[in-house]
Amino acid sequence: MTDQDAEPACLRFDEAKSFSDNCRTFLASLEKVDADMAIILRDNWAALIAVVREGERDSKARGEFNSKVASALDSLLKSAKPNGAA
Amino acid sequence: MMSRYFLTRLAVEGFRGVNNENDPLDIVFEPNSVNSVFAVNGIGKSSIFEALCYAIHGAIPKLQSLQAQERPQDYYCNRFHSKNTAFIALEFQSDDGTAPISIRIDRDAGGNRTVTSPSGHSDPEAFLATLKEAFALLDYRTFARFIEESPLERGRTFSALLGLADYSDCRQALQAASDSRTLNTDLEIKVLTTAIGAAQQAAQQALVTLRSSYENVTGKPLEDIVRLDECADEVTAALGNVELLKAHFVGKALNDIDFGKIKTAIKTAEAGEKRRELEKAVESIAALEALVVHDLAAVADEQHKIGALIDDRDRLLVLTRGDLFKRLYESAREVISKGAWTEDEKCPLCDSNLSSSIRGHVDEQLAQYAEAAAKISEIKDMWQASAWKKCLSAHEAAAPLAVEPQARQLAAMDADFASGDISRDDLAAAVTWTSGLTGKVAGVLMTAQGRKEALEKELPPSLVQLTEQVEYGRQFKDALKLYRNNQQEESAQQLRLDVRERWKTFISKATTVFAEAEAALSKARIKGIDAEYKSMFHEIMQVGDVVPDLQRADDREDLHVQLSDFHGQHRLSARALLSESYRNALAISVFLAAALKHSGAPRFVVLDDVTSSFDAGHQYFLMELIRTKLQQPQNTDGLQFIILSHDGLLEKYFDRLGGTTGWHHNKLQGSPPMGAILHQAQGADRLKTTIVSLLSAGQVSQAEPLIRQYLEYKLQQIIRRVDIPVPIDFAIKDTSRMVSNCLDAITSAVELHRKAETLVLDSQQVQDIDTAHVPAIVGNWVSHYETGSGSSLSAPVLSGVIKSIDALAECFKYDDGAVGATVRKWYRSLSKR
Repeated sequence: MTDQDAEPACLRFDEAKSFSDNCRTFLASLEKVDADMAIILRDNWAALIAVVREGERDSKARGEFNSKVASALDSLLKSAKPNGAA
Repeated sequence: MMSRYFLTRLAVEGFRGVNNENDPLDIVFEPNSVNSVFAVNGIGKSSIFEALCYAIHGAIPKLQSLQAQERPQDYYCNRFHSKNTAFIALEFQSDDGTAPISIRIDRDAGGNRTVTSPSGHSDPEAFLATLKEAFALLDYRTFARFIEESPLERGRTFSALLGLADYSDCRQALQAASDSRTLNTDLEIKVLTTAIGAAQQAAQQALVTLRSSYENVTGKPLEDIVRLDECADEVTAALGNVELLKAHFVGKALNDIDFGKIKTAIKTAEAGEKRRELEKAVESIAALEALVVHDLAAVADEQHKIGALIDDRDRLLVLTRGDLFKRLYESAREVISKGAWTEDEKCPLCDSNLSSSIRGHVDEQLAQYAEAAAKISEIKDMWQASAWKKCLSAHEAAAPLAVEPQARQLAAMDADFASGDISRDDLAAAVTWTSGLTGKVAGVLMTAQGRKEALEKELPPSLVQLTEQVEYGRQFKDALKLYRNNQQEESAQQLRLDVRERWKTFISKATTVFAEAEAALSKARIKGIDAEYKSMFHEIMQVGDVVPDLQRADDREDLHVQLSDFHGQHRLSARALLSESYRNALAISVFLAAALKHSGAPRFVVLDDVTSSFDAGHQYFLMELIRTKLQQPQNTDGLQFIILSHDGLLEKYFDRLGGTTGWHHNKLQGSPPMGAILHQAQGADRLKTTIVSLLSAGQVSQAEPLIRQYLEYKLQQIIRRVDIPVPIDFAIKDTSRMVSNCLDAITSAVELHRKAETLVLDSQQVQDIDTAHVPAIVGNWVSHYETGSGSSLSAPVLSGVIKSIDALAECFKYDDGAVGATVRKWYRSLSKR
């Protein structure tokens, strides 16, 4: 489901929750924007987190994350096509 | 609720300045006390902080900032430790009664780190990871940087302190992942756009052939390309109507028809050289007509645009200063971005003052290189996607033009464009070559058409037309296949492009959502510590009319530090107005307020020399704040504080409180980096045992630093125990003369009390001090070792010094038999028992 114009309800992180729990809430909120894309982001979350560690940006890790995303997008297209379609 | 931990013990051997081979430096910290550790400069205080950094973070920032060629890995282990190995042992006590945890970190000679848990923790590395909180280890640099940093850097640094480092990192990661420029590159958006353009163009070319061949077979124009399947049937039907060909066409779809076989059948029907020549002429004409579809005006326009791009590129390259300078600017950017150079208006090479920002200058220079690189990339992309390339490729490959493989230029041009080295001259040569080929087409086509007409006149009309019809049929079949393949390719690539654009929109929105939530959380946390840090700042600086205020930006991670009140004026820059001590007091207040709010695994704060910019008064107020309001259990939600300092005046404060309830003091002494570091709590007896053992073995040079340590310890013990006054500069005098400074203080005090007739020591003790012990120590130690005499004294002489210092200490004690058994006690002072 895709509704890129949809605004997720104003997200607020819960102070009482851990970073991981808040990230889960964040990813869940994105399903309203674009469920397919939210799944790809969730599946590659660890690769995204590796892009910046302790304030240091790692361009190689960014490239790897985007590469994984590109593969996931291609897989999404393949799975959307009927069997045998080009 | 997770367990939180106090640090209760640190043992170190072979790490940084701590040699202590086979005799680890072993310091105990009390959870319910402020723990102070004092050492004069060079005695290993920093090594303790670094050991904790290495244990928890796996690295030491100071060594991390060294260049690779400086081999930072060679400086972790103590360079005088014979095995070149190190270990750091830590013990932690939980605040909720769960079992204590001990962790040991070893570093071998190869630089490998191993983490184990003698207490049996299942995942000691993971446990250490939980201690990686921004407030657990704080040094002066961290505080000093807080105000000086840009608002963005401060915001990011501070997020760690607020316990939001993960959020800040994640926000930055999302920003990096949604950056359009890098996304376009990483997701190959331009490659896909080019592929779509190429497929569209190839399909259009195939369509031209489809139209002409269809018309030649059926005699009518192809008007509706949506009906291509029907057109294919019409072509099949038209050819199947010919009696000679019927068997090859009837009941078959166009795709199943073997035109090669049909041509063979025609050849068989009427073999002959002229018929084959006619067939070849028809093929040539078709091939040449296919070349005509290339839009030469568009090609010329592209050639002109590429020429302009080459000019732009050359103009940009002139503005840059070559690869050598590029590396210089890249290194400079790294130096600046990693914080190795913070003086933005000074040149890092020559220290000269600049009239503008060095960061801005470096960014500007690198931007010029980036612009040139972008232009080169643009030239390459334009060539790859150009109609010119396709036109040239088709012309060089067209058999009627007979371009020999070795004469073809396309491959060389591809290489030139790919490398970005194509020059104006190369371009001109390529344009000339292309024009030459395209110019030949009309002539060759005319010749082929003339030959075809001549052959048609010579050959039987029916077979001539039949040969042509079959050839047009073949062309229609091939063109249809090509057209469909390219349509599919275009469609597939368009889908890939669309889904990537969909991702770009999504990740951009995700970044915004996360950033807004992170900003709201950060603001809430800042609001939560507002009262505390303002109160702490007031208590440390004892001023009421300077009130700091932290303001987090809405749309960025910027954290602004302002003064909401500055002697009646409002909303002013803290950085501009506050002196260094005020700035650091503000930073400490903010950090400690945040640390108190934190609920992470470490319930301890190690402060390394954080009072360097404070005068004695403000040091006192800070220490009192920690002691009375922040240390647990006085503050039930408080922390355990471990304060490392080399400040002699602060040491007086530590000394006064050491051993009282709520304060645990350690003093380090020794002779690093070669000798051992010991603290007083490790016991003078252990020190003495080691000295005696070394002297018995004749190891005088190893014993010497320990003897000095023992002498200093015993003499300062006398001073503390009998309350001997010392000069105000006692602690800050040359520490290499500490033994004689102590002896001077003791003998002066004894002499003063003797003259005042208030001395409590008995006459034998006074005589022993004057005539035996002090002269022995001065003669056999002070006059030799404090004057820089080169050679060592013998082991028996040094053994005598140890006996003299013990005997000297005994002169300040008496036998107290007032209550029960006789007990040997220190005099209360030189005038009182």
